[in-house]
Amino acid sequence: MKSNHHTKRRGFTLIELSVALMMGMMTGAMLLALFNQQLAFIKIYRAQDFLSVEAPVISTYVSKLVGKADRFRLHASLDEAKAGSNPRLTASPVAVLNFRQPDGTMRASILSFEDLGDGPALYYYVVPTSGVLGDPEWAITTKAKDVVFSADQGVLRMSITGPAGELITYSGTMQQ
Amino acid sequence: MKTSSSRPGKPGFVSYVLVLTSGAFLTMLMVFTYRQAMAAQAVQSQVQLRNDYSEKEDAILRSIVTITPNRAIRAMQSGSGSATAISNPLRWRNIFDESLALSNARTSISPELLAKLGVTNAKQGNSGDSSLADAYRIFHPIGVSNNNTDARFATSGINNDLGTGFPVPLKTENSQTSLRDTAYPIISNDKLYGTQAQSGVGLDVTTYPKFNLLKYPQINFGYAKPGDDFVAKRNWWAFTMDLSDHDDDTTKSAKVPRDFVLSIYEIPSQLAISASSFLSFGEYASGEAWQNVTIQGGVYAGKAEVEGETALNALASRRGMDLSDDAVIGGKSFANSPFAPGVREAYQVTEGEFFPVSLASESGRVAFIPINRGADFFDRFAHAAETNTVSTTTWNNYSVGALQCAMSLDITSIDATTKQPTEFRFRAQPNIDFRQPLVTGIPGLLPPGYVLRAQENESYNFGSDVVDIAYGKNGVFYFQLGVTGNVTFNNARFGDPVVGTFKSGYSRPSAPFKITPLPSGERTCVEIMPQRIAAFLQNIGASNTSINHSIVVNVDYTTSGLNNPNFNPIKNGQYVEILPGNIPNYGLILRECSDFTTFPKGFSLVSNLRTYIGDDFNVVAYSTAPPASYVPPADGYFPPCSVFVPDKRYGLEMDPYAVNVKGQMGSLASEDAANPTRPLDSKAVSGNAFSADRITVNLRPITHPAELPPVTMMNWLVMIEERRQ
Repeated sequence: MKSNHHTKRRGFTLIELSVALMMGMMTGAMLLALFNQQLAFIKIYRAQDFLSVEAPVISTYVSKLVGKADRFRLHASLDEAKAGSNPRLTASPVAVLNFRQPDGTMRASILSFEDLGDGPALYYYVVPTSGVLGDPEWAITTKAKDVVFSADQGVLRMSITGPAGELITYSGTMQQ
Repeated sequence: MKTSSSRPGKPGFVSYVLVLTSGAFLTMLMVFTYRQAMAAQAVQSQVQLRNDYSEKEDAILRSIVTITPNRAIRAMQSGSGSATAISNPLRWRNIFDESLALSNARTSISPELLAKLGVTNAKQGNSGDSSLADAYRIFHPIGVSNNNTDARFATSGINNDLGTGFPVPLKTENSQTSLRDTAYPIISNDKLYGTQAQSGVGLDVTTYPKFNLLKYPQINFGYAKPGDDFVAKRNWWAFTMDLSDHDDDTTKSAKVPRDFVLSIYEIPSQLAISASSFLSFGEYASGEAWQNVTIQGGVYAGKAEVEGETALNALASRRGMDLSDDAVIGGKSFANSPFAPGVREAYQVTEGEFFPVSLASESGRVAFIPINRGADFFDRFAHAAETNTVSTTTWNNYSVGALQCAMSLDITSIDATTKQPTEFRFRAQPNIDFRQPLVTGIPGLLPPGYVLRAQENESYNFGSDVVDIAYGKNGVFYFQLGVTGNVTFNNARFGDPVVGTFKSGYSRPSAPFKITPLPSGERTCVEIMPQRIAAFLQNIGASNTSINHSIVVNVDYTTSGLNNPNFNPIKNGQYVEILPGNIPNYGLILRECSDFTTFPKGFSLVSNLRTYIGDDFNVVAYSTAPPASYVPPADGYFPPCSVFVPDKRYGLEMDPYAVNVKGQMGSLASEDAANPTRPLDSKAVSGNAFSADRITVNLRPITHPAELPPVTMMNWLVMIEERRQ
């Protein structure tokens, strides 16, 4: 007797399909979550970029300058700084740093947050012996939205506002 | 139902593509995020490393400021050059190496601190930690190639002009000083201002080579006003510091080497009141407030107390100050502490750059060191001879006024019964050294200056001239001092110093010193008459008063004199009135002291005896024109004089009605004394204090080297400045 054994392929049950569908959806959801997470990481790092990368570098440069200075003066504008008028201790965009050379001569430099036409930036000026201030030597940062200097209880503070409104404050003292 | 597979590929291919694409995309995102994080970490690591370097540099520089003056002093002390084990720690290489250790620059946390914290097996991840084993890789001389030798750590500021930004150099003609100054911090009287320094000082270096006019540095500590002239000498050394060189292969971070100048300013005390003591301003010991007191410029005290409504122009201190609520300093009263954070800065913005109240500790890279030897300053017998010093100027000679005097007068012998002095020893430049018996009957050699007047039994009439006479022969003489009129030189008058020998009589103008009882009979005193010194020096063949411009008066209690230390009135660093063993406390009388114009460089007196000022003191101005660069005060160009004694009284026969003092005041009392010294307190010969209305004081600072007396107190201002390239 010939037995014609025919393999019968059966379909999926509704439960199986439902499970498979749910697993597929869960996998898709997890994939999406992973995408979102990675994108969030990137957004966070980009948002923190100013605080974690730019601001420390600014602080390093400024701390180096301030740490070498013998005296500082704060002014509301570059013109007042050049004239030496109206020094103050409250929040100011301009800081004048004085350095005394060992031979007794004095040198000065200026940190000024201003817009020279290319957007606001923190500029560094060296005051030449002639006293006539030229162009800034270099821009310490162009990414900051605002930079203000202030003196609080004898300590010079620099508050930097980043492009996303983040605020970081550094403090330092003179050497003498 | 028949089912059959009709897909051409292997099942699940789409899933492969989907999974791989998603995985790759996610991986890329993760890599991007990771790179961002790594970049931020790298920046912060570099920033942290540089901050670490900056803080270490600052700590190292402060350590150098602390260590260097100590080593400079030790290099002047006896035996400092006697063995390498003693001199090596004084070298720049060791100073720098010690500064690395003292500043804790090699590790973020010391093993001792870890042990105290009880942290075992700590793993430290501070990238700034380094062995910093070779100081020569960190500190280099300026303008000299570096290698590991003593001369390759700092550049000496003598005979060496380093150019723009550096101070003008000193000069020395002493090759030892020149050589050793590259290896040690040398403070020496051999270092002077020469022509190379002329552009950096205020006065002609030929006339003022020792101290000149310099600009006070821009520091918070206000011994003077920053930028103002002050009288000083500046010793300096320059070096480059590169803290990153040691580890730049590891850290991949190199720093630009920084040039520094380490200075030790030698500052003679020059303020109206300047003393490294605990001083009280504003009231006398009686509780009366100062009345007729004018003080120009600032004052300095080791520790200060300002009482009542006292007004001072400026007050500087080293150890702190206590201001009354009503005290006014620099035109400002301070209800709260002037040292509260922000007070100085607010003042500088609103009132001016110079804050009138300051402490030495307010300046980071600055140390102010008054050279105060206390009561040792008065006594040259308290110091053994100094030998084998690294510096050519020894510490005691530098810091003890008694050893700086050109002339000395000592009581070397007394009567065993009466305790009256019977012999002086007098020394003067260049090589005068004789003993002078004070009463007849004590044999002695004939001192210089005596001339033959008569033979034995002959007479000589000296008229009104006051003379000292001698009688004897063959190196044996008897003496009488302060004689006038007709004198017969015979045994009846003197006794017989050389029995059986025909003798002669000699005389000389009376010496400017003698023994005099205090009119009250309270004590026996040595009397000094400075106005007679010039003629006396000429008579005995000594150098003139431009060299012999100062005198120290002591009781020689050592083996070369009385051989009894009880005669020293300084006990445990304090002047005492009651000496042990019923020993009398001698005194010193200053008489004929109104006119010092015979001393072209001024006059100084140092003594450890209570001193009675019996006449007006230094009230006659020079009749000669002052030096071209010097504008004297309106009341005249007076000889610069200084008197250093432990206790002074005004008057002799009776208490004066009032006392009027001009010039400068100081004190050698300790900063740590329990009770303050009141510098303007004045006592009369009886011991009674003058009332406030009878004391008039006009004090002003020394503003020119021409106003410096021969002997002064000294201060050191040590500081490090960066020379910006």
